[in-house]
Amino acid sequence: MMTSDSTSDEVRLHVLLSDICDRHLPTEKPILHAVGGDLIRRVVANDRSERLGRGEFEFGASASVAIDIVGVAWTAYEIIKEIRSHMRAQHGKSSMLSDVKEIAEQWRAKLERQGLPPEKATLIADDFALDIVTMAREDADA
Amino acid sequence: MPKSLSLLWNRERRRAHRANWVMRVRVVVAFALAPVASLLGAMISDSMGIALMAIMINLTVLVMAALYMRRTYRGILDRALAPRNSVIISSEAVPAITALIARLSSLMLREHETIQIRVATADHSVGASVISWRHITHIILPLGYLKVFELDRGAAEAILAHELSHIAQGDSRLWLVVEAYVRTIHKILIPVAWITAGVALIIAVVNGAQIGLGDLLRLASGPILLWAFGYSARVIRRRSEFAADLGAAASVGIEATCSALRLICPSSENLSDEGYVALKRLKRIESFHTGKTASSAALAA
Repeated sequence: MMTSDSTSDEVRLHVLLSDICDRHLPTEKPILHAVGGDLIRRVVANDRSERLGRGEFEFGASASVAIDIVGVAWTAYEIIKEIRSHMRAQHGKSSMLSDVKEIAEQWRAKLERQGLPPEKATLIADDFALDIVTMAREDADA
Repeated sequence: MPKSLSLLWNRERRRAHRANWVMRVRVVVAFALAPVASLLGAMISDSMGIALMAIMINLTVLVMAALYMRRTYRGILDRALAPRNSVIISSEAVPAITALIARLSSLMLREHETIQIRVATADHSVGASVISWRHITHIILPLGYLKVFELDRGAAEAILAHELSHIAQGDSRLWLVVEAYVRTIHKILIPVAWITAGVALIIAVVNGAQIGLGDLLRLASGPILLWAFGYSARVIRRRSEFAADLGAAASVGIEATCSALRLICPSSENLSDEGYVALKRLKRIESFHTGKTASSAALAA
C-alpha cells in the first residue's frame, strides 16, 4: 500500500535524479522522463524482480548498454535508508560535515559497484551527497 | 528512398508476404494432419485394441501440445505487454520518437496501423521489438534504445525503420502464433514422435516382424517432417530479418543501418548464433555500400 512517506520519498528522489541527469547524465534524461515514475516506485518498494518487456523481432536481443541512472537511483535510496536507520539508532545525533564526506565515499563505492565509471561516480557522489543527507534528515525530522 | 534499394525492398516485402501466407497454410495443415495421421496409423494396425490405444495416446498428446502452445503464446504476450514488463508511453513523454514513427510510417506503411509505443521499464538492451495483438501493433522500446536515441540518432532511426519494415511485411501479425507453434514442436511433438517411433519399433522387433528400410523411414518420417517445419520457419524468419534490414536501409540510409547493426555485432571472435547472424546481416547491408548494385548484392545474399 502506498503511504504518504513513500510518496514524498518518490517525489524527492525524482527531483534529485532529475538534477543528477541535468548535470552529469544528460543522455539519460529521456529515460527518466519516460519511465522515471516506474523506476522510482520500484526502488522505493525495493522491487528487484526480473522484467523483460520484449516483443517479437527484436533488433538484437543480447546487445545492451549501461543505464547509469538506474544504478544511481538504487544506490541513492539505499544510502538514504542507511542514513535513516543510523540516525534512528543514534537518536539523530551526528556531525553533519563528517556524515557528508563519509556518505559521499560510501555512495561512490556503491556507484562503482553498479558499473559507473570511477570519474563519473566520484562527480555524482561529491556533488549530490549533501542533497542525499538533507533528504534523509528531512524525513527523519518530520 | 534510394530507388534501387526501394525496389529491392518492395520485392523482398512481397516475398515475405507470400512466405507468411505459406506459413499460415503450413500451420493449419500441420494441425489438421496430426489427428488424421494418427487415425490412419491406427487403422493399419491389425488389432482393434492397439488401434484405439494409439488414437487415445495421439489425441492426448495433441491436447497437451495445444495447451502448451496456448501457454507459450500467453507467455510471449505477457513478456511483452504485461504492465510489470512494459508501460504504455504517451506521445508527450517521447515526442521525438513519436514524430520519427509518424514520419517513417507515412514512408513505409501502406495500410493504416494503430501503433502504440511502450517502454520496457527494466530492459537495458538496445533492440526495439514489435508485437501485434488485437489489431494494435505495439512497438516496445527498451531503456537502451532510449539512450541510443540520444547518442546515435541515425542508428536509432534505422532500428525503428527495421521494426516498421516487419509491420509492413505483415510479420508482426503472424509470428506470434508460429513462434508458439515452433516451440511446441521442439518441446513436445518431436520428442513424443521419436518416443512413439521407438516404441513401435520395439513392439515390431519383439513380435518378430521383418523390418525393412521402408518401415524405418516411415517411422522416422513424423519427427523428420516436424523438424523440417521448424527449420523452414527459422529460414523464413531469417529472410524476413534481412528484408527488414533492406527496408531500413531504403528508408533511413545504408550508413545508418550499418551503424545500427554494428551496435548488435559482437566484438569478440567467439560468435554465438545470434552474433553470427548479426555479422552476416551487417555484411549484406555493407555490400550495398561498397559499390555493388542492389541486384548483385541480393544475389550474393
